[in-house]
Amino acid sequence: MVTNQIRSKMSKLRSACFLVFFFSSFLLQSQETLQNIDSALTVLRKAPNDTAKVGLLLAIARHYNITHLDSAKAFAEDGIRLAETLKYPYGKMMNLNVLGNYFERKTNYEKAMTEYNKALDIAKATNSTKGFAVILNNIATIHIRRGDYQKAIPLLFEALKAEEKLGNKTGIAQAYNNIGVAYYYLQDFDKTTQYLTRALEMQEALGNFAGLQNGYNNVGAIYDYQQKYDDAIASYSKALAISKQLGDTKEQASNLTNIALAYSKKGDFTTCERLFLESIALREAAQDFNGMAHSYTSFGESLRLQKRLKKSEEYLLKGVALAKQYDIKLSLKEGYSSLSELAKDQNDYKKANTYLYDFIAVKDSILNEKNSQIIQETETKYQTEKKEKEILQQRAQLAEKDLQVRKKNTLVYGGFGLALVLGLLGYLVYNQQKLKNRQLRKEGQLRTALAQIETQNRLQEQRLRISRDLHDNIGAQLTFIISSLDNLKYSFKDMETTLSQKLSGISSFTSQTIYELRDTI
Amino acid sequence: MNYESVIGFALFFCAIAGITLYFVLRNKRLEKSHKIKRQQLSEAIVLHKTQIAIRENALNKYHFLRYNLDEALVVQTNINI
Repeated sequence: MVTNQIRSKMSKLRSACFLVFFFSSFLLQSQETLQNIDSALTVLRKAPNDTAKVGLLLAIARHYNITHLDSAKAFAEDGIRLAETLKYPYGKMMNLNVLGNYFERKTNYEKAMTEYNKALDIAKATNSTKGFAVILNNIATIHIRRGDYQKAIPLLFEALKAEEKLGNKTGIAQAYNNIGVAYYYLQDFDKTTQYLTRALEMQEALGNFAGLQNGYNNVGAIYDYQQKYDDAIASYSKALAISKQLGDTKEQASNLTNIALAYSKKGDFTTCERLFLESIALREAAQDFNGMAHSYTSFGESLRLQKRLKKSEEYLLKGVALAKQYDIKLSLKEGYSSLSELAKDQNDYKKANTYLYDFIAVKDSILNEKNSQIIQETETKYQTEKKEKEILQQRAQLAEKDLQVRKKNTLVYGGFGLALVLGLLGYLVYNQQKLKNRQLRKEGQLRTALAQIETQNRLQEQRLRISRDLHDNIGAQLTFIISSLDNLKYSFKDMETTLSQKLSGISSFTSQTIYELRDTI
Repeated sequence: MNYESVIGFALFFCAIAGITLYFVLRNKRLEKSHKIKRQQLSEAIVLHKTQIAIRENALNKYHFLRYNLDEALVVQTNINI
């Protein structure tokens, strides 16, 4: 009963785990293949031993890592030696990383890990966050290839944090992609979808050609898992087209294997076989042992489904042998699973049971409870840190808003204060002007009054002068006339009455003239 | 309210008080100068008025005929019969 349950689960898992996901460790290299390698080699021969030459050696090694793998090693090693001579740690770190890539592609994971660790030490010593992120990612891919997901996921989250710190969107997308891949192998398909979707969205937004190849491949895998094989084939084909354009034979072989698997599940075994053989040929030519192990086991499983049991066993055994040799747990697990099913088909239940136990042992080594716990803790830690970061960002935003509000308030209060000062100043100036005007008006009135009184005074003075003149001249003369007339009347007492009256009349008239003169003045 | 705000408000009120004080003192100075001018003008007017009043009074008291007679009349000391 228990065995049947395990078989059922195994069968379900097989459909999912037979897919090959792409890691992003080679993306940088595939983006930087040289257009004209011959020119680069010519320049290299004449180049002086300086840091530029280290960079050139690095570029050539990267190029050969994609196109002619065996040629890459010598250039990377030359780069390391020259960087050591020049005491150029960054150059050494980058060349060590490329050498690690080389060993990874050669399925020599031990050596790859050694080179990556050396590069990581330099990244730590030089505080190179970018180097740290890339190398951690590459170390994580080695762990994934070995099936050590519990080791890979924390490293990938660390790489993700470093990329986020740098704000490197391409790096973040790669980290998301690799985390999604790791979750895929851990059969956490919700998280796989979540991380791969994020990665693909970012790659599309960035227009990253090589990243898109990776994304299409992984999206194809999800369709494959959902048994939408036509969609899966379409997605894989897009990835294959990009791989061909990049000239990356290793990725081409992987894409072909995936397409072949989809056709196998559709029941189109003719196309499936053609594609598998094409893929195997490419991998054998590239000496890609990891890929070969995967292709052999996948093709073996496909042959088993076609009931070509003899040929199936041959390929499955080849795949398992390679997987054992190079410690490729995933292929080993799938190989044992298929061998168990094959033995069941051959009615050899004892053998089937043995393979089943082998399968369970490998599977448990990949997915044990402790590992799951560690992975869960890592995920929680990452999410917590991300939330804390978000909280900090929100706080910073709030502080910024608060600062803006304060600035605004200061501006409002400042403006109000300025208006108040200007208003007060205006009022005071106006008041002062009003006071000045009032004073001037009063002064004007006083000046007018003074002018009038001065004129009046002068006039009076003039009149007085005329009075004096009259008094001194005409007055005296008129008085003399009156006096003379009085004397005449006195002297001639017996004069006629008429004459006397006449003289009195003249005297009165003269007196009247004096009075009138006085009144006139 | 933080330290900067308190300082800001204090400076603002000091500025207001300073401006107000300056204008009050300036107005007082203007008032003083105006008062002196007004006083000078008033004094001049009063002086003129007094002069006019004195002269007017003197003129009113003046009797033309009498004064002229006093001057014109010749006192005869020798009686010639």
